[in-house]
Amino acid sequence: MKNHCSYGSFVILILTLFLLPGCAKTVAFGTATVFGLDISQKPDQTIDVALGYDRAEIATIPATEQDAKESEDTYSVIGIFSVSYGNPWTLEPLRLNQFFATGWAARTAARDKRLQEFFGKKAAEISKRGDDGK
Amino acid sequence: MGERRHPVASMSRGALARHFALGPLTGALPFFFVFLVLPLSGCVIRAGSQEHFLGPVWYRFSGPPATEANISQVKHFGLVLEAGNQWGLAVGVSERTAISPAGSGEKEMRHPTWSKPLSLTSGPEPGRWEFSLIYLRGEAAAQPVFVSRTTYGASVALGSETSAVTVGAGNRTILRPPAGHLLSFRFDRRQPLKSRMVQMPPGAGWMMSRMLEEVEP
Repeated sequence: MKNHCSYGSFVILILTLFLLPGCAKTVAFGTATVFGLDISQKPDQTIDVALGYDRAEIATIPATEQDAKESEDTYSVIGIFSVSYGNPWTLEPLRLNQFFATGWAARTAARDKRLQEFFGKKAAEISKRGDDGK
Repeated sequence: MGERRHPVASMSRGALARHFALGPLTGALPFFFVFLVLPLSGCVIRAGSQEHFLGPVWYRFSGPPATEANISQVKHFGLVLEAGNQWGLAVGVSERTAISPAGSGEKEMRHPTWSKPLSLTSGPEPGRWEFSLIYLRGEAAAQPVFVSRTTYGASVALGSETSAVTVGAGNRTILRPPAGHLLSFRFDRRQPLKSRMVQMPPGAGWMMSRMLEEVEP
C-alpha cells in the first residue's frame, strides 16, 4: 500500500510540473512528430500520451471573457499557416510558412486591401483543394 | 540457542558472492562511465538572453547581414543537462534550433554574439558547423520566437519551450508571435540557416506586400 501511495504521489508531482510552465496567454503554434513513447504537454496545456508514431499540429489563441471595443482589443488574431511534412521514413523535413498578426496589428492589417485580397485568394485555394479531395 | 543473523547481512553476503562471480562486468562499469559517458556529457544554462554551454557541443549560427533572421543551432551527443529558462535531461543526440527576428520594420536588432572564452583558437565563424569542447557562450538580442527541438534517445524536458518525456525519436516546434505585431516566418528543417523571419510593428502597411510574399510557399 505504501509503495502504491508513493508511486501515485510521484506521478501527480510529474503531472503538476508539466502543468506549471507555459501558462502565458499568447498565441502559440506548435508541431510534434514522435516515434516511440512520448508523454507531453501541448501548447493548450492538455497532456498527450503516445506510443508508436504520432504527428500533431496545434494552434492556441487566448480568449478573454469580454467583448472588444473601439478603443480596447481582446487579442485579435489573423493567421495563415502552412505546414508540410515529407515521408517520415526517409526523414524528409518539416516546412513551415506562417503569417501572424495579433492585437491592434491584426485589426489594422484587416483593413489593408492587399491583405484582404490575399486572404480571399488563399481561402479560395484551400476550399478548392478540399473539394478536389472529396 | 543459535545465533540469528540479520537478514540484510545474509543478503549482503549473497549479493557479494554474486558480485564477485560477475566481477569483470560490474568492475568495468566505472571505467565505462568515466571514459565514455563523462567525456560526452554536457550542461546548458539559459538565463534571460544568455546561453552557457559546458562540455562538448557542435553549433552554428547565422551571421550578419542577418536580414532574414537570427538563427542558432546546437547539437549534443551523449548526456546533457539543461537548466535555467528550460530544464531537462537528455541521453543520445539532441538538437535545438532557435530563431528570432533580425529586425522590427526599420529598426534593426543587435546581432547575437558567440564566444569561446576558454579556447585558444579564433572566435566562432558564422554559417558553418563548429565544435566547442569546454565552454561556449552565446548572447542573443532577444528571446527566440521559434524553437525546434529534436531528440534521438531519451529525454525529459520541463519549461516554456516544451514539456515532455520522450523515449525514441521526436521533434517539436513552438512559435510564439510577439503580441501586437505582424510576423511572417518561413522554416525548412533541411536548411534551418536559410529560415526567414520578418517582424513589423502595427501600422507598417507599406511593408504588407513584402510580408505577404514571405508567406507564399
